[in-house]
Amino acid sequence: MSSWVLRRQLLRMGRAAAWAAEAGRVRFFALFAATFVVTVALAGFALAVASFDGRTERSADRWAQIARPASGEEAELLWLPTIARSEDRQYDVVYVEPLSADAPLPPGVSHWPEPGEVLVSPALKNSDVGAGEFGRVVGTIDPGGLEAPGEYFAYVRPTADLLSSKEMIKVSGFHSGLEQMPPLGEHLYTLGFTEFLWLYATLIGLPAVLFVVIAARVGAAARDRRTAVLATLGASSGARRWFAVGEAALPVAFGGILAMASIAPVLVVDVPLPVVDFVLYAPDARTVTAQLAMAALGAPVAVVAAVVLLQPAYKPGGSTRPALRRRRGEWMLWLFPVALFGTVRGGDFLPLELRLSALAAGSIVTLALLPGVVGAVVAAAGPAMARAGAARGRAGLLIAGRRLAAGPRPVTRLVAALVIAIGLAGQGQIMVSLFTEMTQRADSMASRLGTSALKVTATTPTSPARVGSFQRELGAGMRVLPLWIRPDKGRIDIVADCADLKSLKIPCKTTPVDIRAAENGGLNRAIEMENASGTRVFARTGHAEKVISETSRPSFLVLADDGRQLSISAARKAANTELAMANTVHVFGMNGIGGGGAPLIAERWLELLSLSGISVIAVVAGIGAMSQFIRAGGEMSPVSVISGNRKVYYTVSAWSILTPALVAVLAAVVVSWSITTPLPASEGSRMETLATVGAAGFVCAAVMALWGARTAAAAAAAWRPSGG
Amino acid sequence: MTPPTALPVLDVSDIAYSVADRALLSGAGLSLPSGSSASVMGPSGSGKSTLLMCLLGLIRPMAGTITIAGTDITGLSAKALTAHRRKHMGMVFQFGELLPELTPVENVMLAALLSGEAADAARDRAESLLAELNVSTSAATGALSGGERQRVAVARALVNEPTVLLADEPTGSLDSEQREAVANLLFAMPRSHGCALVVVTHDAGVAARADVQLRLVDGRLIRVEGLR
Repeated sequence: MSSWVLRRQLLRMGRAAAWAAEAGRVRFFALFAATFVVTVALAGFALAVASFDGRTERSADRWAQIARPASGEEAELLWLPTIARSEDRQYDVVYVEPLSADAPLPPGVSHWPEPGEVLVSPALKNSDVGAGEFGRVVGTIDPGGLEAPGEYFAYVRPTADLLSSKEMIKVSGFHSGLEQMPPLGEHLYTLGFTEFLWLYATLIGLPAVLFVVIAARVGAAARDRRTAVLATLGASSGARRWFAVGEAALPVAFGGILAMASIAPVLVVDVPLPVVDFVLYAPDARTVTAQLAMAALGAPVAVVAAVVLLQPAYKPGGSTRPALRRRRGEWMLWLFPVALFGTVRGGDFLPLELRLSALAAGSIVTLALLPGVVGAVVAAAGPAMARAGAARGRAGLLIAGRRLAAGPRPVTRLVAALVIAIGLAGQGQIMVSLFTEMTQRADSMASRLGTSALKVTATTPTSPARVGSFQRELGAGMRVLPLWIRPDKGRIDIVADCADLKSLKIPCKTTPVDIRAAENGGLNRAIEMENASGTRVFARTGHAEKVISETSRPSFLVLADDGRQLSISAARKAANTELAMANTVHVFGMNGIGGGGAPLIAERWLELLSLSGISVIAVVAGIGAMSQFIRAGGEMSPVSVISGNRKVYYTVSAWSILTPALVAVLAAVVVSWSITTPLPASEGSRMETLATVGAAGFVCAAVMALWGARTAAAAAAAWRPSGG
Repeated sequence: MTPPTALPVLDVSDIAYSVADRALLSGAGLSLPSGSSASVMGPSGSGKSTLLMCLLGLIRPMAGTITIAGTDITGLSAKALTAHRRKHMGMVFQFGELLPELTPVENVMLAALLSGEAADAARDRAESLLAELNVSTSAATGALSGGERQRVAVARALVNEPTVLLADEPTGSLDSEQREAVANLLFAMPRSHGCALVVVTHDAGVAARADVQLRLVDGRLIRVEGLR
């Protein structure tokens, strides 16, 4: 038989074996799903790189070229980037004023808006954030002029009245040619490339690799027996590999094809990602078409390689009888305490910039080693369990103990999934809690302060006349009081007319009066908060105009006579219309806390990635449990059917799955607690997170044990003696 | 040793069972007193396994009765059938179907434990049976030869002192020497343990040891040779 004919024969035999195995469907599904996941994970990585590259390129393209008249670069337009805040994020608003009719347009813009008009990104236009606060919205910016299609961004052309030419930068055009990211755009408020890669590697890469390793071995006992038969017939190691390839080829091919079919649309249309409010830009995706094709081919090849490499080596002369498996890699167990100590305390010996990376890498290694430790502990406990079961007449304990002692690997695979799921969920949720704590602090402060006292800051100069217009625009019963802020002296002075001060029940004197309380509830709480942070609030009368004119960025306290809650959006719109070209508005006392954007966006990415990773692991754990019980059910069927005892499946399940799973959950929680010690999350928050994740792990383990027992009992019910 | 009695402990009368249009059993009958044995031969697909499943109560015949230890099992509820099977039936499988992780003693006592026996009694009986069947209890099950595994399987089938012992190709996976040893041992059981034995086999040499030799032909059990 020629080698090619033999290979085809071996491939066909392998394919047939894939279906005939005892856990054939589970194995087929495991290989199929693992290939799908790893292909999507690799493609996702390529797309992430493409998105970051595309973002860098477009961000550089829209950054302005400063005019250098000396070099012949005349100013074509005036340009001023500012930062705007909405409730949940920061974004950029760029003020532009063309100096000639043919001034170069920014990327993504087809025409200059008229004075008082605004061009916004589609995402900003469709959001609840009031794009109209900056002027009349007359169009949108094309995705080519945005870092990503979902970016919040606006170009504002100020009215002639508000135009602050002196504050604006004279530029000759766009496409700065910067190689690094300019300080403008969405990238400032979201995860950086390195942070993202670590998260992706931990939350997506690790589960995907775990899936491949487990799928390569899950339900492989029948295939291993066939391979052993081939070996006894004289098959070479190469022939056995071809047989293994044939067994894995079909599910792996299906998984790869489905993955690419799922990913292919990103090459054609912009695809919004769930949870994160991010749109994957098709032109970016097209730049990595070759890498996507490589992922589509490489991932299935890698899965097949894992299947081939992870099959047990044939030992000529060894017994064909079932025997205790040799324990391998015990030396690896000793790495665990080293990795744990290194992760928890290693940062102390490293430079600050390396600590986060070291912590992330150490956490991955520690979590990856933990299942082996749990498996070894469980295997060591097996004989004692069996002895106790035999002595007390507990059949379930006896069988489980012997099984765990003889072959802990299936259980190790199962607990590996649990340990890594808990580890990732714990890490992810603790990182989320860091952001949530910040957001919650800001939210709680905002809700305590209310909106009855606002601080409006003109980021471009204004005048007393404009302040008057601003007050009129706000409506009757509103007061706008200039603030003289001196952070270096830790004080804020409210400078106002006696009528204004008296309306607030504040003494009216020309010398500053230290105010400890005010009748307006919001102002009163803001004063308390400023005092608590070491800033004292004073009030005095006189020279409000001087304060306004002499301050480059004058700030104002805005409140209503009746102390009612005010609309921040309305105040922002009034300020942008009457006070100055660019303004910021927030609750007095908040001092820019909250609305930072980055925590929220990072939290959403963490949620998406950890949810995806944990979903993968849940599937892995389910597959592990299912295959384990199909096998266990098959082996125990004859004796359980004759004795009519189905309860034994539940007791075996409780001892061989639930107990190791509970040990794994406890170990994972304790280890997660240790490796998250260096994170700046509070102990209470870590405790709460890990308790929740641990409880979820317990429930998951209980469900798996019950499901497994039911599966085995059902398999036993269908069992019939074989023969003629 | 329980002396054989004349009353049948297994009485199969005119049972019928079909799959699709094919009649696997059609008026099959068999009657065995305790202490006696029967062998059933027949080509593959002739219905031997179906007969065993009917005797175990895993499938219900479409007609006829199967009386084991004085109770017609065809009319029993599932729960009563399970209890009856546990009390009166034992079975030896072609490949032993032992749990390789357990020791021989544990494999045997497991069947007793699953039937609700106390641990000490189950262990004593298992050890005694294995000693009687000359199986080493010090070796791991996984290290036993095929013949030794089948002897452990016989011990397991006997541990609950069944009224009827069934064996499905018990020597099918053994070499000639082991086959002889296991067959000798198995056919000695009815007299030494006072049970009835039904052996399904392809091996004429094994079948010839039975008190009653039957062949399953066209769904009926045809006696090949008279009672010895």
